Amino acid sequence: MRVPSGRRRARPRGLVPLAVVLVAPLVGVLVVRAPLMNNLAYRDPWFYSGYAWTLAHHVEIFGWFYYSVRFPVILPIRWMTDLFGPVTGYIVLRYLILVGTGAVLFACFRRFASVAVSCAAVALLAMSSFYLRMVLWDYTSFVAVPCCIAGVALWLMSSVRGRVGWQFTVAGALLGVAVFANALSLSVVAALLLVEGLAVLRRGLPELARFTVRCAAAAVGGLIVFLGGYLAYRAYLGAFRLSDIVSPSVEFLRQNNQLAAPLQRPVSEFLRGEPRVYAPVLLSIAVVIVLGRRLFADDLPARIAQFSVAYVALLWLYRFAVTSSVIETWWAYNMTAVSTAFGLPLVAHGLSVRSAGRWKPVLLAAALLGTALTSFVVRTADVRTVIASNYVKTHLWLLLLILGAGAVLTLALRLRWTPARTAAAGAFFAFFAAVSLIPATYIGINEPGEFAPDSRAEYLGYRAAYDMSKLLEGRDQPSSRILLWTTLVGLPLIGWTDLPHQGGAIFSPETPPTALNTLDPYELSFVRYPTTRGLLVMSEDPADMTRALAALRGAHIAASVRRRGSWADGHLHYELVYLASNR
Amino acid sequence: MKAWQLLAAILLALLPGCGYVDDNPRAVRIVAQAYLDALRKHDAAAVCRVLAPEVEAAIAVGRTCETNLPVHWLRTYPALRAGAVREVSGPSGNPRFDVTVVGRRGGNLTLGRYGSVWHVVDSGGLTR
Repeated sequence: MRVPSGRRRARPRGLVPLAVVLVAPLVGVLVVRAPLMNNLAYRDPWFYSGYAWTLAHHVEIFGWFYYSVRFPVILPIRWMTDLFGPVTGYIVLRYLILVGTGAVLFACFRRFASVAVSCAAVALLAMSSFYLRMVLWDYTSFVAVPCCIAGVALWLMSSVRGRVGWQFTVAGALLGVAVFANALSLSVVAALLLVEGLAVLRRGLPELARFTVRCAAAAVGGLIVFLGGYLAYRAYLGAFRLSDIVSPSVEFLRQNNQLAAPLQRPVSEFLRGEPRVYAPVLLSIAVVIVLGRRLFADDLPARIAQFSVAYVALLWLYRFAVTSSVIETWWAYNMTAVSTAFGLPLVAHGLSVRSAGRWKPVLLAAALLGTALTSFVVRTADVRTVIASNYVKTHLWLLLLILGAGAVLTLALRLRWTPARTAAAGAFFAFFAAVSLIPATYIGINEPGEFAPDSRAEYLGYRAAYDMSKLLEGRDQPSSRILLWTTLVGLPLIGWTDLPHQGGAIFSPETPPTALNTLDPYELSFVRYPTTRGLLVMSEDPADMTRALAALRGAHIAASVRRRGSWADGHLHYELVYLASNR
Repeated sequence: MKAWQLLAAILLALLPGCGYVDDNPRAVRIVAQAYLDALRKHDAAAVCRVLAPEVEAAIAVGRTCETNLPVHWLRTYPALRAGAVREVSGPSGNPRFDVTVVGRRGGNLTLGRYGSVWHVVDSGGLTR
């Protein structure tokens, strides 16, 4: 039987994108040399790991703080850990997120762009250092950023077609997941609604009705997510009030100004000292330049471009209109990955459309190779990148020169001569990748892209943190507390899994101990507290175990070791010490 | 139809939770009892230990809580027992429990959670 020729062609067309979507995350991680885990240098990711691994324990001990109510972050970690264990679960979850977001982005671009451009969109997202860094840790962004990208893509794909149906419920659910994960995602929703609102104004009254229905459908999606989260929490915690998981977020939003104020830095400081913040701005300008008047059209590429530019603009406006630190703190500014996910392939698409047939693949290859090679070289150079970045940060003329070069490259994207434009495209994408990878100055770890320097320590720490949490679960109860006594250096930062609000340790967070050879009055008051049953002594120095017991004896506190051992391949020693009741 | 029934069964199974019992009222009672015992023994250090930070700071004005406390307590305390524990409304993020004092008429103790530890916020008239 003869197979219709159209069908014969369709097969490989479907397989190639599928392969790209499935493989791109792996290639992206290899090219950017991104460690799969990046938790150790920060406290906040550990809160979510801790709540996920021992949810009932944490809620019972620490109560309903805003960390605890971020169920879209906590539940996936929990479920994946239950299915595959902590480390494999973490990796499988990241892979699924990267593949899922890539698939939605492909579908979105495929509506108006070629298969090659759509595949390039997936590859560019997979190689985006802002995006990868936000996904590859346990902080809220690993859910918020991908869900924002998928939600916005799904919304815009459907709205330009005049639809009002279930797509918006799904988009609303995705954006709801993002907002419940991290309230900063509301800025993405605001940019989306702004762009859609302007489109409504242009299309007239019938579109307003459709827009209203879309918003209602999206709200239903958000509500379904909320109720789903509530029911899933009930499965772990039993009955609790809805307000328990609402009020901490409301309170958090109300106190936002107070919380953000200490993190704010003078404008001149981050304009001079954080070159990375210019990458999304430059890309927005490139989108405007490449699309030209097409930016104001009423179709999908235009709507995506409008969103991409609007989001970066809105974030900068937000920084200056409200007390916030969204530009100077890298983990907040990396939210622009939602914008660049659309912006980069749009530039590639815009340039490709203007190129003659045989130049199209060359142009895409230039964009992809420019990104890949630069990312790889910058990440491989590591220390030299840091030295060069520091030199740029301390020499204004050099920063201005680099920004000038970026502006020239951006303008060069308008060149009429295709070979020159192709070269400019390659250089622009390389420039964007390089600037994005410049280490953050403020609360950074001095690493290109803010990726962790030691992958092995990350795995060991993650596994050890899980083991520690499981050791405490069940033993540590409100009426019989097992409190941590540890030095806060290196791996013991995993202690934060049990430390939301510094509540699970005997020492003062202002004066963490450097050795466990003595108990000061502050620590003794916790040791002698009526609900304290024992201590979990942890240190990288095995001698601290003996010192800790001696210190307890010195304070006339009888103690017995119930369990001892080591985690992290023998790097982290622990002893579970129970205290005598008459202390 | 079967799918809906299955979904309903799953939801019903989710509602009651999985054997979770809140241990906080017990912790509150333990701290309240420790407070009452410390008062009876006139053990200033043990009393100050379980006081809420703001209460301790108010007593410690100028000196330490332990030094100033004797001014605030009564001459003798009978053996008192912490009784029923009841959740009451408190500031956001700082849950509160009231504890009745068995063998004494009048005010209850109020305890609040600070970090993850319960402290006495209000002595219910047991100190001046």
